[in-house]
Amino acid sequence: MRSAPLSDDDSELIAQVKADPLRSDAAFEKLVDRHHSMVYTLCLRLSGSRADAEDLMQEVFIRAYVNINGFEGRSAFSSWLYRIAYNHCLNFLEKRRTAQASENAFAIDQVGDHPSTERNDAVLQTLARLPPDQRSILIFKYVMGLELEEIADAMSTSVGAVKMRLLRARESFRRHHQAPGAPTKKAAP
Amino acid sequence: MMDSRETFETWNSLKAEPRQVVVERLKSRMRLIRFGKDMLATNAWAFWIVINALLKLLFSRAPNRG
Repeated sequence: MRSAPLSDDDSELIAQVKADPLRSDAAFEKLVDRHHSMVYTLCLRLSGSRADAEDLMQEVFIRAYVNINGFEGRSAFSSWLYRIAYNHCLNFLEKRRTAQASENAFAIDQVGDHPSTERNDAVLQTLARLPPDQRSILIFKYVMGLELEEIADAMSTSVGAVKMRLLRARESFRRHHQAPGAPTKKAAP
Repeated sequence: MMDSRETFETWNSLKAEPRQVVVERLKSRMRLIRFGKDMLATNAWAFWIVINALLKLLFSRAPNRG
């Protein structure tokens, strides 16, 4: 696991929240403003539904807010937040697991959340066919642009394990993307 | 491990923004939580008196018909 230093800005805000939780609305709201896009992206691309992603994002930040004292600063605040989001989304997916319904929701509900091109839609459709852990690692790496160390922190695993999982996820993505009926194979990472 | 600029743009375009109204709703919920904690922390004695009074009232009105 990585011991990344906190971003100075984040650490200052977190110190404010911890020092006086009852008077620190503004500080935590700044943290929300800074990180809500990435958390929402993760929730949306994992859940496949805009409505679910909005609920999940709110729940993730509420959890972080309530448990802020559990953040010890051993990793970046963003990684800690992504770990909460990742675990929360996986729990959500586990509860919702009716694979066919999930795939349909994925295909339908994301309309309007990205520039809809044949290429984007094909990538989303392929992602929807992958198991959640493979989907997550591709989202972390290619959509959110995280470094391997950050992904390892978020997934509570080692960098070596992330490399291995990423390799498998890419292979799996290519295999599904090239399967008969897939619109194009050019978009594989 | 991006093969081309086009591929990078495809993945990059999958980033999303929540609606502003959702972010505002989240902030309101956090303020509400903070308000609840604040009330409990600063007015714990008042809550204790109210709850105590309610309990007394409840038990004093309980029927005692042997």
